[in-house]
Amino acid sequence: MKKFGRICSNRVIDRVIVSMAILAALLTVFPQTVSAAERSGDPSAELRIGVQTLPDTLDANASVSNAGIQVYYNIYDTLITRDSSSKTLAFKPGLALEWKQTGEFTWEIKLRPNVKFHDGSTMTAEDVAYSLNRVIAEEDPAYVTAHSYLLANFREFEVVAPLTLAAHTFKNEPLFEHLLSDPNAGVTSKNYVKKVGIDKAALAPITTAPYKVAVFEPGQKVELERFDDYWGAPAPFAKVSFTLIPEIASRITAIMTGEMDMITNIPPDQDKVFEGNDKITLIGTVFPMYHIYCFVTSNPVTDNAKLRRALDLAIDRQAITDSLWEGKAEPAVAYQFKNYGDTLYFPDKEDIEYNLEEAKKLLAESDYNGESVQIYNVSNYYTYADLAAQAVIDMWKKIGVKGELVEVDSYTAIDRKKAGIRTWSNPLYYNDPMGVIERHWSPKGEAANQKEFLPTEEYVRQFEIARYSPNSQERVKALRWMLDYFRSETPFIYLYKPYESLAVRRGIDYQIPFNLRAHTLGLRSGEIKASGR
Amino acid sequence: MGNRMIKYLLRRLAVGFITLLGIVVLVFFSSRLTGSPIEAMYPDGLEPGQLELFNAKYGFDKSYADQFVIYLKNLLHGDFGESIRERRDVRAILTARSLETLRLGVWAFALSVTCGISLGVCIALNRESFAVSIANNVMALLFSIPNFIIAIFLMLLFSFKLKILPSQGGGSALHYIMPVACFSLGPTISIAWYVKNGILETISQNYIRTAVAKGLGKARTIIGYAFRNALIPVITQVGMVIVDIVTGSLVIETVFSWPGVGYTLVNAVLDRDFPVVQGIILFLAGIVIALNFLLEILCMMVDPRINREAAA
Repeated sequence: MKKFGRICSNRVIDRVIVSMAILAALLTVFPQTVSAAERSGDPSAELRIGVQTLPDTLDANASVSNAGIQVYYNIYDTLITRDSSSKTLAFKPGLALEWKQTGEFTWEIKLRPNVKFHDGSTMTAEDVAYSLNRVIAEEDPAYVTAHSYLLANFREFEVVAPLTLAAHTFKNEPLFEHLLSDPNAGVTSKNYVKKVGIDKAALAPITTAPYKVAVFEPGQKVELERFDDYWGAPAPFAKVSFTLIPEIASRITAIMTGEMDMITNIPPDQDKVFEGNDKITLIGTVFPMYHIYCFVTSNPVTDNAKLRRALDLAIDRQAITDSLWEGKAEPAVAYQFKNYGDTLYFPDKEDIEYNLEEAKKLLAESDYNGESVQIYNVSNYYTYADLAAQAVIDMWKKIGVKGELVEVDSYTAIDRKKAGIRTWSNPLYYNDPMGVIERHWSPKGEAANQKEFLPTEEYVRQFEIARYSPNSQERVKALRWMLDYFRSETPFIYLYKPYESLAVRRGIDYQIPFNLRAHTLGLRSGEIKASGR
Repeated sequence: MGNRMIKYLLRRLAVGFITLLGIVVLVFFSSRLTGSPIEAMYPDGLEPGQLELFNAKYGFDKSYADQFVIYLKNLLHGDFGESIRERRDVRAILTARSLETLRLGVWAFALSVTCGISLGVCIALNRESFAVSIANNVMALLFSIPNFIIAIFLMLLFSFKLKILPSQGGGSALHYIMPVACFSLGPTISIAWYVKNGILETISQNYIRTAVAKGLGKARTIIGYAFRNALIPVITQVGMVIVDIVTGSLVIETVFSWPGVGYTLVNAVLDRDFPVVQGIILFLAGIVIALNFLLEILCMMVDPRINREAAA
């Protein structure tokens, strides 16, 4: 120690130490080491969530993504809301108090009075009309997606009076409530966006929701604060933070060490890490979404419907979910979701099966000549997609079909001249058959645009009826026809509904909300509660 | 400093500027070979016509040459462009994130220099002891392990098993411990080796033997005479510590989710956020070039022999 003391007394080292220490101390402003909840003793003071992905924008109209929906649901109000506590589909007034169809293509919407924006201004019909019309007008390229899947049938939202709007549609709109209750049709302040511009407003939006955005660091974190002038029940937490922790091991460590109160996107093979841990609760769910194989039906190898049907019949979905998903994912039995409700879900159309004999028969009737059926997969995008593809390729060997997995790094790297199949997902955006069909299998949709899906004229006709008909019996008939079409033509293969968990620390009461999109985190009143630590 | 020296330094400055320009060209065009940033933003695909609208908004519909001329013009006005992902000025992103890297880097630098020099002197003083020979081997082992392996090991031990240190982010004093340790481990060892070797080389000189013969004592001779003369290679190495921190930030910040320049650059590359990639690489390259230039001046000031060689 004596020697060390002498060494350190050297003037050079002394100067280095002192100057570095001063600089470091000046630069390092240590924030609090404990959460607000721990400091105050109030468990509802703060909720810290570690997430796998964060949205790049907080403009809900601009991003239809799983990353976005986690946050948008909590920071945007919609005209109509879905009852997240009801096991059956139910709509409730949101920013609109009443709405009714006044003409074949016109709806009248009466707004809730005295609704405040986060900046203290009062919401009017001007704000609602602006928020939705800018999507219809595609004022930013990012609005094209929300326009296409939510507002394609809306011509204009017209201001009739300070608290009254008229919604004009191109065709009849049987899904009015479904569409206007999606957070991607959220409402923002017109004056604020006009003042700062669309891009700046996307970083710090001003809305009417129970939480307001305090901090947004894209790619890092979003911090929300309770909005005290909210028109409805106050938010359960004074502060909520979403922190991006892409690696699953790091997310698990963060909740284990108490750095986070909740973490998302836990794949089934990690569930055992939490076994015996009474401080953390795992909440697992099968998402209203299918992992699917989209055929490129314009490809000469996969242009034969009998081959496509044979490939579908040769997949043992139960074996895949048992081995890869530890039995927790749900094998597809129909091209439908039970979430539609009893009137639109048809049990007699549960016709997805594993039937090798039938597969071999159809294969023999097809024009298959031993070519390789290439499955294009974007690496690390869909959980276990690569492993599932390898299992499927093995299963196809049993009927004599040669498969090949091609890993690519992006969607655009898919070569549709070579690809027979690409991996995809079909989430249910709202609880109606059109909640999955319109987004993915519309005659004007992306699969059709890429010439992967080549709908017939009759399909186009039936789609129009199923989508827009005011007559529910007609819709049912058309939907049944479409299911038969999907069966016989097999433009895609539904594999399974994936399973994922989120983990919450002891003392937080949470359950996956009903009627909302997959990956939505319900942090509003009645959806989550902190009862202690 | 004579005229020839000034000319030499100006020449070095010009070379630095040309290097920077080369980097601008290389990064601009090579980043565009990776594909479209818009397609990276929409991994599930875009709606018909949406890509064209985005390309028009961000100017990607122009030829690469036109895009480069616009970029260069803006750059000369100090405008690094706007992030495609974050929708804000690259300068604002750089300022915020480089401060985060600086928070870590200053601690790592201070620790590396102080521990490295102290350790080097200690080893030189006790070079024949058994403990030092063990320490030398341990240092060689630690130096050869990549820092991301050490980072993951520390995380597993202190966060996952012992639960005493936070695993990610930059919220508190405790958050600094593991990333700073990872940043400074390699530089500490390399500085210690340079100091040790410098001292050992110097103590074989005649004037040291004379000092010892005068009865000054081993430690006093080493610290008072040998250490000063061993400083020149150490100065260069200390400068390299900053380069180590700059380059190491890409890995360490990503492992610990530390919101600094390295973490931002890795994400920007994955997202193909061209303006951010260009801005950060230019910024980092500027630091390394400026640092080399300063080190050269510093070495000239410390050792007149280098001054003469350069002028010649």
